[in-house]
Amino acid sequence: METTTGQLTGTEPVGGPSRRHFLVGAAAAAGTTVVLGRTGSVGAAAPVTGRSLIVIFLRGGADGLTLLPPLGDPSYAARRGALRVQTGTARALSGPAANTYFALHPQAPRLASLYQAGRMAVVPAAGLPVINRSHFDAQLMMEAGSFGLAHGSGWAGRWLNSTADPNDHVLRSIGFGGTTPASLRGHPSMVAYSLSDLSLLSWGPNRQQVRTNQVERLAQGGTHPLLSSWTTPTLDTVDSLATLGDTNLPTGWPNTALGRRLWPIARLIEAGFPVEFSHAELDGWDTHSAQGSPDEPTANMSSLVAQLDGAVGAFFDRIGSRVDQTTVVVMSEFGRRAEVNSSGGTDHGTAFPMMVLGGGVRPGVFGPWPGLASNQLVDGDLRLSVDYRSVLGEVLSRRLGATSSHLSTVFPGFSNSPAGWVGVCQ
Amino acid sequence: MPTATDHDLDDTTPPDGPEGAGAEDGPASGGRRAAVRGLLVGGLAVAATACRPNAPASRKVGAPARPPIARPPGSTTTLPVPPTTRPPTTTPTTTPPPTTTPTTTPPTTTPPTTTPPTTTTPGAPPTTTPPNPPAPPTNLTATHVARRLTYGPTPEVLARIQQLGPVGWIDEQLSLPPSTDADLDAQIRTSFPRTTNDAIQNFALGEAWEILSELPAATTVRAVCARRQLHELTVAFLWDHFNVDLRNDRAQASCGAYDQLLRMGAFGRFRDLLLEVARSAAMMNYLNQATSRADGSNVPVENFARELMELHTVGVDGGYDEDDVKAVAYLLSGWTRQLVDWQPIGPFVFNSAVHRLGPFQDPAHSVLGWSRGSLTGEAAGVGFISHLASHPTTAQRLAHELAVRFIGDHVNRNDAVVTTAAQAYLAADTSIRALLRSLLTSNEFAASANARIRRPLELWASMVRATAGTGWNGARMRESRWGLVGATDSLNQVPHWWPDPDGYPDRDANWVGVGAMIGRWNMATWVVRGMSGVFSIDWTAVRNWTTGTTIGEWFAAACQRTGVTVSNTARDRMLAELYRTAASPLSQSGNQWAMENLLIQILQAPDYQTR
Repeated sequence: METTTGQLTGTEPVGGPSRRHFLVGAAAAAGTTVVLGRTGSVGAAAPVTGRSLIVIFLRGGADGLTLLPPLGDPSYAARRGALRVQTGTARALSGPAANTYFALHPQAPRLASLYQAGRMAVVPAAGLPVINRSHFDAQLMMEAGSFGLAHGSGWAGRWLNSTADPNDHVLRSIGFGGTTPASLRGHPSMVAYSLSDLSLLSWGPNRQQVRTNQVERLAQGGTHPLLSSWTTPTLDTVDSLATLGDTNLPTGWPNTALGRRLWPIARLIEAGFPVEFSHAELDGWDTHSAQGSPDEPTANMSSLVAQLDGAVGAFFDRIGSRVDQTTVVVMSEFGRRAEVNSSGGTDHGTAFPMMVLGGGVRPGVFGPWPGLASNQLVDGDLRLSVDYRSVLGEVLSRRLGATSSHLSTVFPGFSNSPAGWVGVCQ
Repeated sequence: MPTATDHDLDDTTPPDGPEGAGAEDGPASGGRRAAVRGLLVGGLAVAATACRPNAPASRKVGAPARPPIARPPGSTTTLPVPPTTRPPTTTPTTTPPPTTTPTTTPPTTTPPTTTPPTTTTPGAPPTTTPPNPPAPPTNLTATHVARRLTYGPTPEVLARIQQLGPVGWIDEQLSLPPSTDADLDAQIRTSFPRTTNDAIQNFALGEAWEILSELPAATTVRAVCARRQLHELTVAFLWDHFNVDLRNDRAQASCGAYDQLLRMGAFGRFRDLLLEVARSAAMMNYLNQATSRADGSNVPVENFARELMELHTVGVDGGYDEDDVKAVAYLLSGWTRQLVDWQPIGPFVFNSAVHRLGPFQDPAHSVLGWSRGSLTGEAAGVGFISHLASHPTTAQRLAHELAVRFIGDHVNRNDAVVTTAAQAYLAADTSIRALLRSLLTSNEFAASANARIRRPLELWASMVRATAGTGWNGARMRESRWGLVGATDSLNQVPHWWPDPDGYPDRDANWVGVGAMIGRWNMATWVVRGMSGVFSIDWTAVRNWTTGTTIGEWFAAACQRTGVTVSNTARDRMLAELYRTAASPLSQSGNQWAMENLLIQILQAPDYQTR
């Protein structure tokens, strides 16, 4: 990838073509296993940029007005009635960018700590620039990031492809949770349920048997070139990941859907694997009924918030000092309507509070707040004030070194320039 | 894009996954899929002992039993090249017209009320006279045909190809009636009822979302068991060509009827199929056509109009622009389905109240060489779609897509083999069968052995066909549905779960990579050690792959059966790791354990990953 030039000068300089890793090339040259580390870190050299971006996608349309309640909005209490977050139990946004207009859900103590530590930025009314209340369509549009201009690829996939380098580490991007997320499509990223998916099944031939067998078969010749080119990196990766040892959830790690998906990412980053992009997701935010009081910890919405909060907290605990190199973005396909429905839930809305956490973040609340008064709503919805693509564009640029040229590939048809950014990154 | 009904329609998915383990997750989530894993792991203990293949025995699928193919003894093993001496004079010199389509209207779709004009429009392309078909290639081998045109060779398939000759077998596959697989169809209707129902029937049956696992499971079982293997591969192509995501909440319940529609039209006229797809509840909901309206101030949804041209027919560079997309969206406004419980899942209707011709108000307004002339209303839309089906650009693009699928992704769009197939398609009134026959009897096809990497479903099905055969355990089919989903889940190709309208990718490079290679190697272990419960390996039958008495002889037979070449040195190394030599008797204790280990390594071989 080219070095950072041009208009996006707010970015710290990032290196040239060698900024990533050598697993493919070095292992091929060495012809053996695990000669990959430069510094003795587990199986992999540290990246030159050392930066990671993890997107946590909340599927179902998360209720931002409960996750990040606008307590200072004079219409909030009336709009939300029994579902509202109470001032007394809300988690305050304190610290260097203290904000009393907004707060966090009572079940979000870890997020509140991150905010207090200056590790969190929030964009309370971000999202898709077009109103689409279908989960399916909205998620796909958002993750594709191309609004019909490019089939079969996602914004992250285009980022990875447009910056691909032969020396890229095979773990440069990896998703956990199952199917390739739409954002990663178009790029042969790995997707797995867990780290054990990236190992050979223990009841099959062992690693040495597989290696010997593959090497012998390839030596016969006549193999499809794609198979011969991928076999050695795969064998090396299997060996390299095997050095992680036990990859089960450690004691005390939240054994939740999101926790299980963030654990392998934390483990890889902690061990020095150069994961530049990763994706994890949590379903279940489609709270049409019985959303529950925020003060009731076992209520539907409360337990979702607690799950998000616990998993993100454990993640940052685990990666420790690597927090400076690690940025997490939390997003959802849409927020929910301002009014509570007759089933004690909320229906599909538009804007959602995007959160940016971790390294390089400028703490605070960013972007205009459109307000919840009747004359401020659009069709019963919080009005969108920030295009989600500008938030992701800023993060990609300031954290991962994307140029304006990259951004026009990542989000085609969208003008992504510093002038339009809200400043979530330093 | 937003419509009045979107909001009402998108919450039909179930609150929970079908397995308790995924309870905190939504329906298409990792939690449910983790549960798939759990089932597979759980199945391990059962498979080796509880399930016997081909049970009940009367379910045996395939051609009548034939004597095994004589194989030369020897330690270096490849499948023998069959004789290819079939005289060319028995090959039909012209492709027979499609015989099945007109009578196979799917249950939920009303037939066209207007006979589509095919050649009367001003811009209609001239019908091209095909050149004399070339003689079938003489180097077309049974092995290649079996590997490429089925989900994996079996002794029965190879014997049939050798009996009929490769071209004769291809012609047979192109003309077998649907009743050929009647027993399999009946089993699938019983085990996976939502895969043959329309949406109304599925909602009446309840738990309509169960189709999320039923349809991939049915497709997976069909891939292994169908006798009409080429038909099955063609249906898989059509699902990618006319993709609908089964996880789309609007389309989901209609996907059973949609699958039936593609099956019935697979070898018929593309024009008929294109019209059926355009009228189908699944596609109309998936691409928002069903809620498109042009009355009052409403602007019609462009989604389907765009994909109709970009993906279904002429292609993105096919000669239309954004204004044309908008114009076609108007032309098709009013195409919808009757509302049933507020959802447009009933029979197809043309609702003239929400239809406007838009730019086509002008009878001479032209898109892609077509103008409506005196046609109005629904007939105008039918006329345009019919025009698209027989447009030369559609013919070339469809022929290229099929060439990539069946010959290889090295084929270029303007290669002669593609052009010839496109001409055959046009000459035979948009016959998919004629197009396929042209491609599959080409020299390019004959020369393409092992050029393609098996896609995940092809890999899994071929492993099952090679080791467990094509019989099934009907009693376990339904309870194994999530295990069948799991077959392709780890390699990201669960049938019908691709989210975009463009279908699963069809380039070899899309299916390899570090994660994919690990998944492929582990798949061999799953199949040999685990299985889904529906198919399981009869180790007595596997042992009897050879009439010999030594494990060396068995190993040679196993390599032959799977098409993998292993040198004696490598064989001896593998055997030594299992404390054996080639001369070790097959009666030796722990023999199944040894066969399992060897079979996994054979199926992990690079030459097994291609077809």
